[in-house]
Amino acid sequence: MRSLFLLVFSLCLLGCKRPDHGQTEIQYSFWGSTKQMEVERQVIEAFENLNPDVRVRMLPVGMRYTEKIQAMMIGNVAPDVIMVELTVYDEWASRGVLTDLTDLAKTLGEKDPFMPAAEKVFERDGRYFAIPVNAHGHVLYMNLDALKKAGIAVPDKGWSWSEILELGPKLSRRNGDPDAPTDFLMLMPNPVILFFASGGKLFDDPARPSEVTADSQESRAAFQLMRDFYQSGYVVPTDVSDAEGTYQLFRDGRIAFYISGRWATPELADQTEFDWDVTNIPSGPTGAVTALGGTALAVWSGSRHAEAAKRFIEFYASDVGVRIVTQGGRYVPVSKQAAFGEEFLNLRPPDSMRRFSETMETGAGQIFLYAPGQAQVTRIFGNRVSQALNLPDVSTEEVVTGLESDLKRWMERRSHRGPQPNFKEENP
Amino acid sequence: MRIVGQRKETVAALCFLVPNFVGFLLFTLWPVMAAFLLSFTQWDLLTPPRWVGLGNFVDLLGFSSTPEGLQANDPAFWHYLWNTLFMLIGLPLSMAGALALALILNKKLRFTYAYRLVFFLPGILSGVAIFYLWRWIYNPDYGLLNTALAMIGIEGPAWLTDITWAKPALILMGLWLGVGGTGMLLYLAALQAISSDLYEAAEIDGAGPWAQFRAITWPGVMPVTFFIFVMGIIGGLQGGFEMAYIMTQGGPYGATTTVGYYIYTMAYENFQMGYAAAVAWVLFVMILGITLMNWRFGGKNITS
Repeated sequence: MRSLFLLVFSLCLLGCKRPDHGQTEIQYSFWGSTKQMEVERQVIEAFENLNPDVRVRMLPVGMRYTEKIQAMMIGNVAPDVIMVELTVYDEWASRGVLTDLTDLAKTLGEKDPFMPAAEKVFERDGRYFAIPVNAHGHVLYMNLDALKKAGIAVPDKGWSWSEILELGPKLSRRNGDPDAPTDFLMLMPNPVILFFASGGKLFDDPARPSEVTADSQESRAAFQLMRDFYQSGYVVPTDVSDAEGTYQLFRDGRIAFYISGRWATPELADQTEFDWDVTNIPSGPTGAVTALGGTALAVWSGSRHAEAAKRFIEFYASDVGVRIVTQGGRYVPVSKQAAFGEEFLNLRPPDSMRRFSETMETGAGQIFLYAPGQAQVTRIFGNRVSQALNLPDVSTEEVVTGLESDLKRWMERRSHRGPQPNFKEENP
Repeated sequence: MRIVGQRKETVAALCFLVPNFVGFLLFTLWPVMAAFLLSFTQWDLLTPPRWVGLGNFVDLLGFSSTPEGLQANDPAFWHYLWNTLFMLIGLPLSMAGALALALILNKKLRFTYAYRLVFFLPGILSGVAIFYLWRWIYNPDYGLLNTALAMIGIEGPAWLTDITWAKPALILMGLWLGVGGTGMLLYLAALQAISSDLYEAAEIDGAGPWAQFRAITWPGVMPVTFFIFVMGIIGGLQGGFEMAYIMTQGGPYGATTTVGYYIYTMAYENFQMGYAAAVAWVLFVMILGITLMNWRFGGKNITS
């Protein structure tokens, strides 16, 4: 028994590769699939070859990434380099747990300027607390076989939201036609996208909100559009998509359209058995607007190896790093040159790669707030969406006035709780 | 010699007790006391806490006068408290089901042990797996439930996304879990502890099955009933988190958000750990109050 224990213990020790003498070890946390893990491993390998004095230890995190990293921050054991989600970027940056990387961002930007979408997502009051490595809007994935079967041609500029909804009877078996090409038209479109596309706006200034502006004609139109989709019967009920997965429904040919970003490409490329492509996201009165998102790399302010961490991020955002992650298939390069370069545009599938870059170049995407409070505001909005979709007897007018009053209450409670964290103060 | 023996016994007892006691101090008492202190602060997890006195409790339990009338400072809390209390409807139902099942399984049937095992299975399965399973059962298009309803000509609702049906759907699932779970096992043990002589004497006196149940079985299982009820109330008021988290995310329109889930969202999504601690303490005081009332009234009946 004892010898077995010793054997297992020795094997464990052999498995724990320690950094060589004189090497600095930094920890790097990120999320993503096993495919993404392989891409990250390649970047790290390339970095370590050029920087033999630094060893990067991977910390892949599955679900609830933010909470785990936050718990590590509280315990003072957070990773040196942190992949940051946009939903918590403002919270973390304004509370001083991310190092100010403005100088690095400027250096990188001088070499090859960031795309407008990347700037919009991660720049705050002229400062960067993370370096964008992937910024994305959404595109419309299309099942071309289904469209062909239904005799539908793809317009050059894409469809509008109401035009897409009108395609429901031709594409979905929900109209009672068993020969229709797919079960459903699409998933329920992201209400945030419909809200922005209709011209809705929650605050006067998303960066420094002082007044709630949710009660407007545009908001009413947006909630009505959500209801039109939900009640049409052509979109997938949420419990079906929750149970069966979202991209899986498109992969299996059960929906004709799928709104997603570049990250959906690798799995679809491997697993679909039909012809597909992407086009612009459908447009509303304010054009083809998407909900912006993105991925950035930050240095934890408690890191004892901040310089090595910055070097890793600089490498990640360099031509070599960008080439590796771009070929991984999930990212759209954040710099203009790379996003419109032959190397990215020649990647296949899909045929219309340019659509990903265009979405970022127009910058026609929005988020509710460029300030702390994103999660609360999104939840308040989500609650009212849920009310609009699930309680048909409640008028759109009531939903919108309810949203306005919820947000006002949130603003009041926020100011009642004292001065808000901001990006201007120096990190503690 | 005797003293040495006693000392040895004491040392052995301490060896067994100390790890548990230290664990209790470190992982239960200390966090509970820390949460109590935190409930008087505003803490966003990342910057140092700021003392706000009773501010969190006023925000949580207070009412303000508005042009529309008196309004709760935090209407969401009252909504979620109502949800939590509503979900407790399942408790007496699952207790009745557990007792009925235990009565059947206490009979000398063929394959009794196999039945007991099968009925107890939900009690030992992982909660997450069960919740995923039930998400499939409730799938409005391909789910087992709606398919079965369709066979008899009924179009089933979207169980988990329909405001009217979401709470009953979760209660129904709780019943499935509760009827065959620990409750049934406890009832079975209690039934087997009742002397068969009592039933024989009752039969000789001409008592029918219902009279036997009322006069012998029910008083015999009363202490277990009381125990299951008290524990069920405590668990019910604290619970609902995993269910909401996995199956509904608290929706639709907050219909399945319980106080437990609210604490989680306030702490980890809204960065208001101090406020979440205040909610947790209010919940604790409520549970304590209800449990004391149970002991005061229910406990008296048991002992008498």
